[in-house]
Amino acid sequence: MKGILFITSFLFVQLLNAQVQDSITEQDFMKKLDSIGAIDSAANAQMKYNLGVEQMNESNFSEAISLFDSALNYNHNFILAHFNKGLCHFKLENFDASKSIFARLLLKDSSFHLAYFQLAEIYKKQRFNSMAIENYSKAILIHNQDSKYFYSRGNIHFQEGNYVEAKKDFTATIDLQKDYAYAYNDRGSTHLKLGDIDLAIKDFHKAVEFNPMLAFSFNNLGTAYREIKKYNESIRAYNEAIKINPDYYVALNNRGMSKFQKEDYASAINDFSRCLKLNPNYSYALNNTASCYIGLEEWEKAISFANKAIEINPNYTYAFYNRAIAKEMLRDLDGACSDWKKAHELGLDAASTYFNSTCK
Amino acid sequence: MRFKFFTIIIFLLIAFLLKAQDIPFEKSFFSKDKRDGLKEAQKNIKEGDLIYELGPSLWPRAIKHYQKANDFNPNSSELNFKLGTCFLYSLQKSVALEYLQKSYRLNPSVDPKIHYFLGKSFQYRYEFDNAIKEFEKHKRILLNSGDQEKMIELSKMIADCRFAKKLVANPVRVWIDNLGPKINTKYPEYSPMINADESMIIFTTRRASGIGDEVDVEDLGFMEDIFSSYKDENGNWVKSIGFDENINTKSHDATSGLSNDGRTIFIYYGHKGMGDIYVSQKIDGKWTKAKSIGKKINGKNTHETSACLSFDGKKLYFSSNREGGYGKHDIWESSWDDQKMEWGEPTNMGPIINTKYDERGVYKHPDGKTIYFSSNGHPGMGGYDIFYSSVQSNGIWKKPTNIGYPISTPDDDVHFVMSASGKKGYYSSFREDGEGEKDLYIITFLGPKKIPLLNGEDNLLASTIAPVEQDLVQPKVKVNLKNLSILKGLILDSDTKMPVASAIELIDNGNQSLVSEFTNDSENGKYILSLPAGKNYGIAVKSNGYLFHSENFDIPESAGFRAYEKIIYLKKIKKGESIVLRNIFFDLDKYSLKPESETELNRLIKLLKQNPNIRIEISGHTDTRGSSKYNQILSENRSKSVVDYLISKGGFQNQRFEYKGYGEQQLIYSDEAISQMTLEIDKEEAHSLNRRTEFKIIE
Repeated sequence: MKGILFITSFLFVQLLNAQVQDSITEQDFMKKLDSIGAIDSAANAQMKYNLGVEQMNESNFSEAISLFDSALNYNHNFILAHFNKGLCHFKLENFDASKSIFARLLLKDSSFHLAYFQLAEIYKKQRFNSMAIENYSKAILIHNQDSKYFYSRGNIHFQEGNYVEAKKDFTATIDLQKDYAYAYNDRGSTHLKLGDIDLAIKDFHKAVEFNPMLAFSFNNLGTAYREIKKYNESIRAYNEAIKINPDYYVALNNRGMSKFQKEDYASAINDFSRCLKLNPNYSYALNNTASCYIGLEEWEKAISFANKAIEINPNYTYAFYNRAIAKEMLRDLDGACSDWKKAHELGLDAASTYFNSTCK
Repeated sequence: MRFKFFTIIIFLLIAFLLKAQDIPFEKSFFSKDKRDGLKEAQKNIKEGDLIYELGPSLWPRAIKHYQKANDFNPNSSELNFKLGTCFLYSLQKSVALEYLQKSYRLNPSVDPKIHYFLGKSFQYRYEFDNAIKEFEKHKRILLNSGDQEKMIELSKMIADCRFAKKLVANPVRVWIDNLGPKINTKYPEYSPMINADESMIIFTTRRASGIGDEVDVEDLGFMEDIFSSYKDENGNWVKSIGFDENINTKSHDATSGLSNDGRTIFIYYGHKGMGDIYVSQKIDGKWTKAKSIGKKINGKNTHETSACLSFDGKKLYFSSNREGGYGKHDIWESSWDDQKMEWGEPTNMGPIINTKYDERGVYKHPDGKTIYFSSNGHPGMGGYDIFYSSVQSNGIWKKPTNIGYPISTPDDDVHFVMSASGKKGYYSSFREDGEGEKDLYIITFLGPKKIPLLNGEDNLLASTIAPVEQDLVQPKVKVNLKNLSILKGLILDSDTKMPVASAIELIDNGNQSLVSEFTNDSENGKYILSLPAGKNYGIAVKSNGYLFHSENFDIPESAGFRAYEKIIYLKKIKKGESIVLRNIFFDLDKYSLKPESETELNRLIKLLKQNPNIRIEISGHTDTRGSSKYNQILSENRSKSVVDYLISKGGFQNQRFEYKGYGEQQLIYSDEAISQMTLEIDKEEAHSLNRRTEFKIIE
């Protein structure tokens, strides 16, 4: 046995030298090593696995899967190879294959929280949010010290509109990782949704304190200030977002909305127009421009922009609603009523109020 | 010391020179070559003064004389003062200020009331801060006079100016449109009245083409006449025409009120400073000779002006300066006495509505709750303003609210009427775009400012940067919609399609009481009913020789305003004819009759007794909700219940009746038709129309 080990070590050193000298690939090197029977199956599995990981890092997921399969041929109980193979299938969006691997892993080891987490990620990708939450929760039950588990579950809760649950998860995330800027941003967003605007503002400020380049957090901060009618602060926050990312048309549109609230219609129109240069089909900015022209009592222009918004988005309730306001002021009552009716039929309750009061 | 002396001298000299600019129409102020011109100017002033002395209502007629004199010498403080005051009482009130300011510049003590008139001029020009300053100055002058009444009046004027500033800062959003040349002329038109569906308008005019073509010596204008106009099929007013001699006289005849159905008008006849209300009704297409509304309303030495009826015609509201009020003219109410067939003893509407000043131009809205009137006592913009108030559930009137600028103005605003829907108002005004003098205008209420909706996105989730839509939705306006329904249409013979003179009973199904009984216009078959919200109404249309027609309107408190138009075809009493009994009610899934059905059933009993030879079939019908077998049984049981009631209460023999359940076999609206309806309310109504009880004459 000692003799074999010696020979193997010798050959290994020789081959290593050869690799350096001839620049052969590691794969070839491993093949050579294997061909001379210099490694046993456990080590072989290990090496195949490592090669698979390297391929994964290169995003060569199919190759990686072959290598992990090879590794598993040597050692079928190689948990990590199973796991990474499942991960590769996930990356290739072979969700069924991926799910089956993680499920089998959990049959072998029900305390494998990473597998639960990965299953949750698959369900999240497939938009089976309740299944995702169930699996994140199982992962957390086994291991409650990983901030990403809480953070990910918080995200799904948020998407599901369970803001109270989301808030708890983001708070748990922050408790585990005090400088997690994203978690502050997202908790700020839950506060925003729950109407706790002051807390939202605090969290968005924290997010940009830990990461001053988070344009979207500045954008959210602007929105939070707008909610409490602090339009100057709102505009300042949007300014920061736009400074970080001058092509951030969402923030430009939002800044225009805050300026509208200040009745600074000309400046708001300027923002919407900049936004439309970046994204000419951004129907929100078209509709918002129409709103500004309503504020300026320039009814024809308002109708023209609302028309454009409707052309891009034929079911855009707000544009119908706003166009009706302008039409009414031009005394086109039939046109106004038809637009309010349409907006109502598309689900905008506010339109029915005007339809009932003006058209019946 | 010396410096002080010279300063005083210079000051006095300047004051003298300034004063010297005031040039009276006296020889000594003009050179010889201007003497002829002076004579002419003096003549003009004399002519103007003759009119001026007759009082403010004639002052505008003095303007042309004074202006000629002013062309000769524009620097007389006295003449400028007179011209200013004349303009204040004319339609061109805004011109007054420049004359009064000039008068004051020429001679600050031209007249003790100069600040008062300057204040009024500023007020008419909406320069309320300046108006307040002038009124304050006049108040200081009055302080020593001890004239408490004038002091109080001035305090009110100052308060009105302050109030006016608030109203102007928050104008009511309206469109104001001239009613056009079919209604308006270059002569004054005012006091418009409309019926409930705005298809008819009556108004007062001082045009030449009326019966009262004589000139009023007091103001040299034509006598007032009452004119009317109707809307054509396109909704346009037809050329207005005057009423005949039954209403218009050679003296002043003014509109005072109009009933909701447009078939009763109230007329104001003035005489010797007093005035009474007369009434005329349209019967068989003709207006009856106007007669006094009654001794209890028209007092001996009192002045009654406007009047109007409640929606059911059982209450009369009118303005009068009779004793027992709170001020000059007050608003009073009186109830119709069914026994004596006359209006009962009037009662004052109380200090919430009436003030120590004048309340006039009363108009009771067909919603049965809201009253509109003019007052110069409640906080306003100056002169008469328009106010409204509504009666609360405890019977107490709410504090009146000023209708707001631009309907209320610093000038006198009297006689405003609101459409049944609450969306349109009618009033008279002098405006630049008019036909001349005061014209009639329609006001379209736009409601609170409609706020546009904006939206955008937020990148709320950092990890995904998935755009999450976030809306910026504004809250709902309170629309002050009127809570009532208007039912109007024609009553016609089902065969000939000719109008049928009919009686319309309005029943409150809640307590089975008769709300009121109306008649339609026998000439054209037209009828209009106002149905205030909060009740389930049964309506029965009856005419001799015809089967009655039955309708049901359930109008919840929050129903808002709805207008229904329905042609009712009355069917002759003959074999084969059938009618739907809309006011027969059963409990859900039961066949026992609800008490609310009694009035309708008793009506049917009466019909059967009046026509003892007819046999009828009572049939029950259901909607399609529930199994057809169940519906069949239910409808049969329900029709039997009706027949049982008729036999037991009417004492009829069984042989006069057949009953049958049709279940869902004879639907008015098929399921397919209902499925194509977009609004839930329409679907529900269609189902409810399918559920019905009918009777048919079988022999």
